[in-house]
Amino acid sequence: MKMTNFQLFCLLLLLIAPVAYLETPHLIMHTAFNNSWLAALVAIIPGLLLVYMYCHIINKSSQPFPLLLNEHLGIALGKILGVAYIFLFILVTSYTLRLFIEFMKMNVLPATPISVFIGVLLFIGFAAIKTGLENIARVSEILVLIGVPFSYIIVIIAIANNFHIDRLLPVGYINYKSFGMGVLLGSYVLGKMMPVLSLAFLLDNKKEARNAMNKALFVHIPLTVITALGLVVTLGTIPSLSFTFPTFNMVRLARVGIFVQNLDIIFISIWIMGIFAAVTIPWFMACFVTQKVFNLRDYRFLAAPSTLIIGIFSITISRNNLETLIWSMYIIPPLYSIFFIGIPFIIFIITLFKPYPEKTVPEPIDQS
Amino acid sequence: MLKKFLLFIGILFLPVLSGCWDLKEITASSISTGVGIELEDDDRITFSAQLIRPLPPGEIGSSKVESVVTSASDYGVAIAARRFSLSLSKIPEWAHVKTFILGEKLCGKDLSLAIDFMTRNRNIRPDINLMVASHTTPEELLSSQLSQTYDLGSGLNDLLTLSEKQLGIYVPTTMGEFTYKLTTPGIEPVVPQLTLQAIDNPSPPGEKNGDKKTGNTDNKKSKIILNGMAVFKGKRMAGSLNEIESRGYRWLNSSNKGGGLFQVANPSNNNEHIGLEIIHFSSKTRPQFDDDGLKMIIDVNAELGFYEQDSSNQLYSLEIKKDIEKAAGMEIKKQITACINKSQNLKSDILGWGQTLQQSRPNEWKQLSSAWPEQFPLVESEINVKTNLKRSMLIDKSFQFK
Repeated sequence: MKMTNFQLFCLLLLLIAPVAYLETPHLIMHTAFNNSWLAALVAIIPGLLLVYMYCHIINKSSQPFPLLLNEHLGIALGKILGVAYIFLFILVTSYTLRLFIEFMKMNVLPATPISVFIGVLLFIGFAAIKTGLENIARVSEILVLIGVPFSYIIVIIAIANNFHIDRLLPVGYINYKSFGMGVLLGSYVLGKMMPVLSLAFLLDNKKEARNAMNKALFVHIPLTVITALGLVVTLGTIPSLSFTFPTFNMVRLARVGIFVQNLDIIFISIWIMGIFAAVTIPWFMACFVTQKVFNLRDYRFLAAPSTLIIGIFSITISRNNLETLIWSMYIIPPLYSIFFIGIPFIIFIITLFKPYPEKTVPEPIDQS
Repeated sequence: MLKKFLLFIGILFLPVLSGCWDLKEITASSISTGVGIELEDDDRITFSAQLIRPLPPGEIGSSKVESVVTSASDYGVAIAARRFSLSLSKIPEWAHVKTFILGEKLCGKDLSLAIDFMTRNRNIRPDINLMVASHTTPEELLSSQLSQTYDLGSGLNDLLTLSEKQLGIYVPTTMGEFTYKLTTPGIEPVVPQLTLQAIDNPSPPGEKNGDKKTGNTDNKKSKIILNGMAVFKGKRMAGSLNEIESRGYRWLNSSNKGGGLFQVANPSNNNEHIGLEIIHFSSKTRPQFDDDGLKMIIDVNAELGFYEQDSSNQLYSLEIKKDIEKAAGMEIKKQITACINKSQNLKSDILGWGQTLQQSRPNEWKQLSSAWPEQFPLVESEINVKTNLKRSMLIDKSFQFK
């Protein structure tokens, strides 16, 4: 199959934005406090470096991820890492699913059993993977066109109604360590764009992946900045630290005059659509990497067995929301940093000393 | 074919899966717009709510609402509220609560008895208005009526907004603002107080002032009235601001920078009064360190309208205008000074001077923050008020009798 540049942009944005919208500003705030928006803004620099790194790897590789692991690290290490990435993508899917469940159970539908949430989302994700990446990419276009403008609008409305600009002060009064930590927390999530190492090979010209990544970055970063800024000026820094999902608390403040109120339910509907993509794309990657590592004929038949693994893992990953918070703050950031940034960085270093590959036709992903 | 059938079945059931367990039928719900909590002598908390039942037009001819106040007590706000289920057949719907009333006893003892409920509960929205029941209980307040509405919660919400725009005394406080000020160093919250005022002569002879059938009338023994603002310090209520002090607080802390009316004495005759409307105002507080230590410089700019005079002397003229502006400036300064004195007497930094210091002089705040509660009452202030009389409404000359 082939993919357009816009579809790649949509997929990459949906990989990072839905979860980051709810999670990242809160995380940054724990270290950068009222300057969290500045740290989120500066995260564009590591973001651009990441884009450069991924582009370099793509250009220096003749085959998509995970086969490029074999190409650059050798078959043995490549295969071992490939298997590790299968587990990682399953973990990412399960964690995203769990985060969604926690959010829904605590804020929206507390009486609905978690089996229903898991069942519904996995059923849709399963159907999406079975029909192929092409359909996921098409749906992603719709999700981005609906979700991104609405996310911006609802944050702007919330800010406009509760604007306390003085709460941003003192601007820049923060030590380097805290600020650096804030930038790291704002940028590690950008590593979720790593599937571009596979998806770029579906473009007519894989070099155009840079364009899609830059676009995703320049849509995502302002959204994070405005959300982090919104938390400070609407809720205040210290109250935001104690909320489980402060972005949602801010959204609850959004109203237009006295006639359009309680907009949070619309936010939830849109966010669920985003979560569908945030769950399905890493799930697809888990199936795709499995296919390539074990040299299977197709990835789509893996959707059914992986459904069970993801469903059970998302339940057992934590026993309560405090454990989910620990995952969010202490386990996921280093894990993403190692696998989505650290290992690609090693490959990047290796590829610096390698020549550009001769033009080869990449193996098609969708073999139907 | 089987796949398509399964997919069709799946899609068919998807829309009904999400909400079944949390379904709340409107006919099985009772909507509450006003709730209140108070501490009892036995340390139990009484949770009171005004529940509204919409009546369809068919039953009574035209669409109306009925309201009922119900209360329950227990050692915790949430469990007291859940105790409603022992006597109610409909599920109370809290998401429409517009006003939350705190009891005076509870505020005087310990806010931590209730603050967790106020911030953790998903049904309590951060933009609802908060009030304190003064010399009465939330239950009594909720059992009273505003003369023009059955829906007390929404009515109180409108009352606050309207009174600030019309009279310019009390500043509304939302739940979000309240929790922000309780948790953030260098600022303390104030909350408007409600009280019940006895009515001696409810209705002048010959004037029909109410609806006997529904009981919605001014002919009640008492009426709800906004009266002062409760000042908090830490987790307790420390005291109250009176009307003048509340006006002073508004000049420095309101997010609504216009509206309101106040009076000054005629500069040439103290027995006569001039009513001035506040068209727009702004204020800025900045810290200044000199040899005497910290001083807060407060600059207020107010644009005023000449709204009323209780004499027929020609007062709105270029010659007297300056004197009126000066008198208005003095009055504003008096109100602000009264507010500062009260907050310093109560040792509660309701003006947010600590926060201002932290925002503009973070290094100095680092040194002062630990001793701020002791330092705050000693901080001096300098108030500079600029007033500008801009408009005179329909007439530019005083009324002249023939």
